[in-house]
Amino acid sequence: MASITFKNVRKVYDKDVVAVKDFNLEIKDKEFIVLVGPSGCGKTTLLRMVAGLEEITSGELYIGDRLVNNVAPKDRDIAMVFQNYALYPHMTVYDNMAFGLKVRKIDKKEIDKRVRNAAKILGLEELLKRKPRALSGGQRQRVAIGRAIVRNPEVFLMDEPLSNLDAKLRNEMRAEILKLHKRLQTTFIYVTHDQTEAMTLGDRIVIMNDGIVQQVGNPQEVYENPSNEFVATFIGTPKMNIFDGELGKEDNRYFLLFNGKKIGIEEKVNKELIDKDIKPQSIRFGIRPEHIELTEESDESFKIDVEMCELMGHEMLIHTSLNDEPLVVKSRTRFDIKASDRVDIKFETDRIRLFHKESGKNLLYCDN
Amino acid sequence: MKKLAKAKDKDKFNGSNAVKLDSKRKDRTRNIFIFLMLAWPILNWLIFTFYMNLETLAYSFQRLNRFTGEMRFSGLTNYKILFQKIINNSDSYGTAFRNTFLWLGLNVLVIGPISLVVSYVLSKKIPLHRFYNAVLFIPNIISIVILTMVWSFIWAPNQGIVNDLLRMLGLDHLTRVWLGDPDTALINVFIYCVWAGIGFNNLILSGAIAKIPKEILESAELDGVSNWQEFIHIIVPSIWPTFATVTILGATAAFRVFLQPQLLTNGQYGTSTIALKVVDEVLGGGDYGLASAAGVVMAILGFIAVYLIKKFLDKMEAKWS
Amino acid sequence: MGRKFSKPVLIIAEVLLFIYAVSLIFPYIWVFINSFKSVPEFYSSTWSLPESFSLTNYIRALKETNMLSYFKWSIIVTLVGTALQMIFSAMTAFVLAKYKFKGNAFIYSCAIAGFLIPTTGTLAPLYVFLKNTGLFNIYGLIVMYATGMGTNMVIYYSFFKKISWSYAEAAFIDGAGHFRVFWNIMLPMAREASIAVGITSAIRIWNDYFLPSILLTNPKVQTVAVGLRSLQVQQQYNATWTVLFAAVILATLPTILLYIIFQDKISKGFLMGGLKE
Repeated sequence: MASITFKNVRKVYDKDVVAVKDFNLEIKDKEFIVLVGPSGCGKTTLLRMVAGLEEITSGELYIGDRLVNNVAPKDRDIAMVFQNYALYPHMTVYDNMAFGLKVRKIDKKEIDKRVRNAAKILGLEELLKRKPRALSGGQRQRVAIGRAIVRNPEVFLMDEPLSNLDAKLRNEMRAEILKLHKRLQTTFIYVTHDQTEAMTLGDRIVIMNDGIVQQVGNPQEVYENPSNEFVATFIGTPKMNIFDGELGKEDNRYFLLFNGKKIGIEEKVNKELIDKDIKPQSIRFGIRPEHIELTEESDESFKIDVEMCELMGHEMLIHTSLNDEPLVVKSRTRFDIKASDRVDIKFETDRIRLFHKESGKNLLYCDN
Repeated sequence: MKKLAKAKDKDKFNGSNAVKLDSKRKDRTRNIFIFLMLAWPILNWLIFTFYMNLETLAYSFQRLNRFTGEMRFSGLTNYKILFQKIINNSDSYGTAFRNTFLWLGLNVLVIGPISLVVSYVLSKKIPLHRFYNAVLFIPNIISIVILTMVWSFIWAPNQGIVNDLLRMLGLDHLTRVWLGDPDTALINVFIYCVWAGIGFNNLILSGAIAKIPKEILESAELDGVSNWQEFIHIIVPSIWPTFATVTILGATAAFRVFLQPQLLTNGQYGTSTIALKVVDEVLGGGDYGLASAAGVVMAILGFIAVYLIKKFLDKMEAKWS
Repeated sequence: MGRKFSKPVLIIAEVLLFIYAVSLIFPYIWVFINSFKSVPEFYSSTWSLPESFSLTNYIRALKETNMLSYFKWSIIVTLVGTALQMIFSAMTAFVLAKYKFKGNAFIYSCAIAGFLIPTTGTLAPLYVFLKNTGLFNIYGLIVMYATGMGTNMVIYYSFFKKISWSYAEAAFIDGAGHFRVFWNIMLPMAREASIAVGITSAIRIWNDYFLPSILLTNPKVQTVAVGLRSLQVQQQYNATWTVLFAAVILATLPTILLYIIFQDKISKGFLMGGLKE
């Protein structure tokens, strides 16, 4: 059993720099959790606290049922893959993988068995006698993972393990890490700043900013129902378009006043707004590029001047601006549009997300 | 590939292809510039390094005629005298010879490893580590004259710090003339060398330890190393090239040691070294031939010893890289 | 930082290092305290605090010995010697690092070979040479310090190698000559090397004992290190230790003060110059 529980965990550096603020999270056994956020958001600090490399200023951290705040890293039964791999340069691949076991005085035969097994899983059998500097980036990455595998840990920690690889290799390794997780059946905590990685890898994603958790959820939830403006724009590429608007209400019908037009609010959302008794107010609203249609001119459509087009093959990104805000439209149906064309667009109203003007909170987000 | 490398090399140097215009005249000013810049440094080197070494070799085959004051070729006489003196230990040449090798052992096997352990301990940023680092380095900024003087105050027979302390503890029978007693003088000078010698090595080795990527140490920590395992399996291999340099420097220095025994004991009570014998012969006895022969022997032995040690160090390095 | 020490190991390490550090500092404190005592007071109670902090010994040290003169000559020798060593090392290094000509690599390897051979062994011909050329004086000392092919050169060399030649090309196009490029463009860019070389050379020359002790035969022209040594030898006969203590404090104080102020720079300089004798 290796669930991990954070209870009000805080990390403060030099008495006043707060790296992590009151972090609460329960990670289930065998879950693949991804911590994602911009650099400096506290995600790596959090990971290092789990490893025991960083002291916990206050709060409690449990691995399984054991409080580990004061347990030495070596006694936590965890393994970690570092961003720069941290392979021992003076040891062969074999010795790198075997070192953690030798130190723990495990039987030589057992070590050999485990190392060879890990090498087989990762396709390193031919390289066991090489030194790290004679390996390619991808191979080093595998050795770093292999070193963690042989330990058979209860928890696997990975700190931006793919950031030093080129794009193609990164995609391959991503798939392999997923396979590995299935195979090993252990808890993974994975730190990255890359939201694509987070979306594709995690059972659940923890999005952080400025040491504070913004949202925890599975990729679909996070994408569909972001808790605030930060999450909305951080997750998804191209990012969600955000505009200022007015939320109005007439005869129990809410509507959005934007760019001189009244956009009707879809029935289901309307009901939620009524239930929550949201007052008419200035708001920010967001709509993802794929939820904007190219359309005929109508009451609810907007005219835009196309500034630039990116044709991606199966889809086209149209860059423009509306109400002095940049706007990106993803078109999957029409590819004949060129810069300086004038087209009409329409929002899919059920996809509009409403955010509080000051706090950026999603007006309809509820944490279940 | 080779061509490319060559072109690159040329680029680095320049000169000729940078100033192509009017190349002949430019070339001449360039050559004059090179000559003027190097003239004095090379002259100084030719006199004080090249000529002196050559002349030492020549002197070692000559003996001074005390009446005419001229040096005369005398074959291997100086070397014969030197070896006889060493074997018979006359004028304590034998002791001096032995001591030079004891110093080699001291520098290579004692001071180097102790420094390494000290650097390792201080790299853990233990309480007061800044203070220790600063204080340990003090012997390197103070003249050896003052250092040895202070050392002799510590060990002075009367009013000396150590003897006073012993008397206070009622251990009068242990007091002695530390630096004037053949039983303790040499070991005392050795201890002085350790006392004053750790700081510099510590600086260099600490610099190397600080450069080890911190993830490597963290990774080892997660692997569950003990301090001893970390030291042996991670720290030592990682900084081996630097430790090798420190060791080589110590080995070379062993063959030059003479100021420490000269200033502490005047080379008496069994503390002399070959280098000190050379100095004594030149400044005291005026036997230039014997001094030079000793100098040549010292250089040859030093070269062999350092070469062997380097071989060993390189072998270890090859194993780890 | 890696693995932390366990409590017992930490305590043992702290105790040993503390004793070692104290052994390095305490003698100076002992000398400092006793430098205020009169000679009889010193003999009767070595360990007590002085009855009064009288400066008699310091005044005597300044008057009866030539401390001020020692300082003057040490300062002169150190300033001139360091400056020459820096300039000549930089000159040699610059030409060897940046100009291609026949014999370049040969000169460089000569320099390396030169400082690998122990110099003490060559004392006999040096002695004869200095005697024949009449260099047993401060000029001889300066000449011997004015080297340009030692370890200092190697430090400058590695620095100049790293500086791009395009700066020089730009200056040539602007009409600068070779020396101007060296002096106004390249040398300022090697400022870090200059600091390292300057600090380490100055400390080494200030503290040097052996060369000045044989070269400076005129008792009126002596450096601090040599002067103190002769004072120490004299004390063995007239036993006015406390005056010697005062002299030691006077001689060390400037160095220690400079060390406290510039500790980081000094350590860095030594670390960079690092691998020299």
